[in-house]
Amino acid sequence: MIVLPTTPQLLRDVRNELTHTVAPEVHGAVARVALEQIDIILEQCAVRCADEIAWMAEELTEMLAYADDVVEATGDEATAAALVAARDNAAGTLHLDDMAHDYTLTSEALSCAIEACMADPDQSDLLRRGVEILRLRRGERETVVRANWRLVGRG
Amino acid sequence: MHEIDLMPARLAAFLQQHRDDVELIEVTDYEPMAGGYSRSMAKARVRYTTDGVTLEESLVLRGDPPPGHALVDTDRAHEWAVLRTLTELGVIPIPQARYYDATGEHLGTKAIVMDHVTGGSLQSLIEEMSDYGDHPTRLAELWGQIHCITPDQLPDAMAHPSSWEARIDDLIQSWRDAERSSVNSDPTWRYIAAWLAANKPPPLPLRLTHGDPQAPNVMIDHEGNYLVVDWEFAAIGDPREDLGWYNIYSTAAGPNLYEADPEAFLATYRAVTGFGEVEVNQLTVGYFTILASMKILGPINAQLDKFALGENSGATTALQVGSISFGHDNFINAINGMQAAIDAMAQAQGATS
Repeated sequence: MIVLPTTPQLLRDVRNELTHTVAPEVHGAVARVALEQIDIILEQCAVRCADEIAWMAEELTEMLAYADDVVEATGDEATAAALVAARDNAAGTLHLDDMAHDYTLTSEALSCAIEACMADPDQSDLLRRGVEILRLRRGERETVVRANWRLVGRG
Repeated sequence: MHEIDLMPARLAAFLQQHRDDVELIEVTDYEPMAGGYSRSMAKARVRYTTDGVTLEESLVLRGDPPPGHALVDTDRAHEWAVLRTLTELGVIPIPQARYYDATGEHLGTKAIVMDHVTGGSLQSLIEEMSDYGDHPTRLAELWGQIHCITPDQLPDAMAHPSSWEARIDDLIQSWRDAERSSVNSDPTWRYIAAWLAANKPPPLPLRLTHGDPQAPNVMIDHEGNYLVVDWEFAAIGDPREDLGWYNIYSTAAGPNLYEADPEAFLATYRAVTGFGEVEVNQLTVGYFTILASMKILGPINAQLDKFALGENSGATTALQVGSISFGHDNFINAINGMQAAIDAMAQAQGATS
């Protein structure tokens, strides 16, 4: 497998060609908007594909640990069931589709765990920890992946 | 609408059906418009000839996108019913809606034909401004005017919620439903739904809501008058749904005329609507900034799900992954801020009692 240039490098080269070779030849308003949108999506893909497997792997570990702690503290049945489903049905490989599948299953456990903490006034510290996973881990990475995102073509 | 070469003849024939007082109708120019995000838009130049006298005008067509390329699925018949009602009421400035092809047999897709506004949008105007002048005030007044329309003035074709509680509970449930039906599991949406259910604001009377109030949906004619377009999301709801959606949309794609001076904006709005400060304030607008977003994020997410399943495509849809993540980021931070304010108020009340 030829790993260099990397996928982000290839995608950014396509962006460059579109911007400097194709775009000047495109004069229709609808097509120009489409080109600008495509440029944003290509940059998002370049950012995302560089790290998404590693990020999902890290977050899987963190979500499982958090949900385990919530089950231990609250005995919440929904969270416990979601954890069993996530572990029993995990594909467990680094292939992208498998990682996305495992991430989705484990995210359900995180959802249930946060809901359990919301419903229990004694679990404010655990709730705060769950919200921090949303805000500081998922949220910050989503911000990085948004890259140069903007709503092109409105108004 | 999507077969551009055929459209001049098709449109001319369609218009002729509605104008038997005109001998000859010709469409001399037809071009798709950029800027219609959820619908396909086109502008047509039309020539009318009767007894040797020729008149010309421009019209706008607003129709459904080709199958598999929709950013959101909405109902043209619903939009047409709203436009007809607003035209009859005559209290909200809108471009006149002329005709409707209810089946798509004439124009190739269900489409509304309406007046063309010669000016640009409020968005394109304020993007170039460093001083917004009286536009924040005028916009607050405009939203207020819409929110003076009561449910009994609106057509039966629109869903009439049984109560304020029912409306709010439906909106909260829509967060859970959207998450449950999605290909993605979304803990942020589930947390948001739980927080919204635990922190409902004081109620307001139900009113007409535009559903997608934002500067690109306000056109400005050559006399400087505002005209509100894109009524596809219009509904009967809590008026603050619109204030909230305006706030989040304009934060994503500014400028945000509310954020420029929220207290002045809300004071103007309250003066037009007669609503009180207990119900309409920055905290309640913050609540609805989150709550109401699902009305549009939900349909967008449904299209992204179709994209993931290979049932939809297009750069406009793909770009909306950013809209969903932008919402995550803003809503989580907004909840943190509002919870801190709610906790501080509770503490202050505890100290005085």
